[in-house]
Amino acid sequence: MTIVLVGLNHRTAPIEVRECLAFTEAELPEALRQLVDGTTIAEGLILSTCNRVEILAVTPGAERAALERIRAFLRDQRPIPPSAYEAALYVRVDREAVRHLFRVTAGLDSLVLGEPQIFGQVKEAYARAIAAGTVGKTLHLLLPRAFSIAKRVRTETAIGEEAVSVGSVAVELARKIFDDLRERTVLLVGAGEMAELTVRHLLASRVRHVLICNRTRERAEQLAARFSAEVLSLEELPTSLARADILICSAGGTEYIVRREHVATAMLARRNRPLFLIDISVPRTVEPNVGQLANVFLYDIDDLEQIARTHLEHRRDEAVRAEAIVDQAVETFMKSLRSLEIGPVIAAFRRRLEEIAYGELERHRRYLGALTPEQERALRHLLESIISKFAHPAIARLHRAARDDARRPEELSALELWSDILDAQERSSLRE
Amino acid sequence: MERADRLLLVSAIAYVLAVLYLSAILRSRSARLRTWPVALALAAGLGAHTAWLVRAAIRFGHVPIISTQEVFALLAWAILVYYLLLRRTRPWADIFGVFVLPIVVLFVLVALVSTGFTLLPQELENILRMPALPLHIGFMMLAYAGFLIAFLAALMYLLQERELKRKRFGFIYRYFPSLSTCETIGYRSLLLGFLMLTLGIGMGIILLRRSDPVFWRGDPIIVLALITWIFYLIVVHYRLAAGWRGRRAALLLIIGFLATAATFVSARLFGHIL
Repeated sequence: MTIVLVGLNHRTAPIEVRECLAFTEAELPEALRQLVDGTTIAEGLILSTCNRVEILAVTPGAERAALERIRAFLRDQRPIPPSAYEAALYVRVDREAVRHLFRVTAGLDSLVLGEPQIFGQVKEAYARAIAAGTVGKTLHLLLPRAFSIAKRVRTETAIGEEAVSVGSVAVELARKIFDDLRERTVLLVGAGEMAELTVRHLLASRVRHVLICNRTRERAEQLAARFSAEVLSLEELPTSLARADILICSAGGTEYIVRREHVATAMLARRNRPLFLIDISVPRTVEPNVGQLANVFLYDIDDLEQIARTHLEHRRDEAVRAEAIVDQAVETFMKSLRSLEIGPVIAAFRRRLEEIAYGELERHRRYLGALTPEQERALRHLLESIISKFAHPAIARLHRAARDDARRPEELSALELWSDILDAQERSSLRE
Repeated sequence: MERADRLLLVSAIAYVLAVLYLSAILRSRSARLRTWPVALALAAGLGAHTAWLVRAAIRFGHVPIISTQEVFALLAWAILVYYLLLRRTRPWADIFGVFVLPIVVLFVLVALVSTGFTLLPQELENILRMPALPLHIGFMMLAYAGFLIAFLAALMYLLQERELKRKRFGFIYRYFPSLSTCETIGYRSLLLGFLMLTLGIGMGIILLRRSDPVFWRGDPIIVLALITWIFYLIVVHYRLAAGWRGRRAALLLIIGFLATAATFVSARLFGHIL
């Protein structure tokens, strides 16, 4: 059994190529069945997200044939000429394929280092492959291992701990100020895309009250419908400031919309409850010296990006530790994979020996006469222990070979040779 | 160390274990470490600690509040009980414990190294037998414990607020509870501490009336205590009426605690019982 992985990701291919190669949810079951033919490819899984398309397959035979088949599969399935993506494809075999899967699942290969979504996407891909019936023993061993490694990376390193996007940094800061965001009110000034994204992050943290204030009322109402928010006019802004705990300002224009005197007045009305101002507009629309007021925390887009960058650097430090966990896990997995492989070989080997021994016993039984149950047991015991003693060195060598895979091919072929010899003997004895 | 002090040593060790485990939970940042060993260690420590106090009370036949040893042991006990009351209400108190428990440990250690008290002057013995005394002392201890916790919360608030304003994040940002949590702990401790202080001073006045026929001698300790009380009254009032919170409230809590500590220390220095 050999594990192969063919794919492309955000680093090797531009979005135009990735979107042509991606599989939709509806296409997946049929595609999986097309991919796995049972002979060249015994097991298969397709991971298709917006950042990567990867095909993971298990082949009983040579990797070359499997790779050929995957390439052919892509050519047949996708409406795009192979020349467009051929250069972007990477191929990983065996140990490297396992490592790649572990790294991807743990978020170490993601665009945003350590992001957790990919974990769910791999799980989803696994579930779909199971549903399509293209998962066998090897993938059933490999994927759960990938999930547990990803969880270990998450708990034993701080890779996913700190926020690294502007939106999530804003939420993290809000939590540092307010703790629980449920009862807080968010006021959105301007309805740009970035503001919308930040509000989505806040809503995910269960913020319930959203106020939207925009120059064009239509846009505000559009957005308000999506967040079940309340719409305010720009004139109401100074008086509404007192109601907001978190203010996100993304309005255009060259004038300050939120001025120091507005905030100072609002703070009196708020009886000094803290106010968190996020100014993501460029040029800034919140007067910068607002941040000097007591209990007011003002962050502009540069501040947020700076924090995100620092956090990303921390993640890179943690990634080094994560890679070490992955390395170790790959080694452990390869060993258990080899044991999984030699299992059937050893069983077949023992079965052959038992067949021969008991066959011979039956052939010579007529010379033995009637046996008492004790004699019968002794005879079987005799045969079993001869088989065990005879097979033991070979099986022990195989197990050793499984642990140290440099010697593996020779050991396996030696065992195949043994089986052949036993087979040949059987045939010749039949001829007699 | 006397044989009887072994109980105190046991409680100190239990508290140290609790705080070490608590920091391990924080450091590991994972849900794999359970919190029950902390609860177990704290329960064991508190048990030994309480037993020591009861024994001391029986041994000397009075409330254990006279010697430095007794005062620190009782204060540590009050702080811990207060912390446990906080801890039961919300899980965030776990992080807070890393800051509170070392102080408890410190006080117990001070109690361990200070000597016990054996003989008392006769007039003190008389006061000590009055039933109002344990109440007075109990209230005062709870007040001190409350103000100490409010002080810690305020300190944490200020440190964190500074980081948030400067936008440079480090250890504090990673481990401290949010500003609103610090504020809530501070505020609740303030209210409770103030209530206890009021009751404690009330009891103190009753005690003085009984033991000393002259009501007002202008005693510096009593003046200090009253100043402290008025100060906290003002803090509570402005907090309720004018919404003094955040940085300013935190500063006031710190000043208030320092004043309380000064009252306490001078009470010890001048040999008074507060």
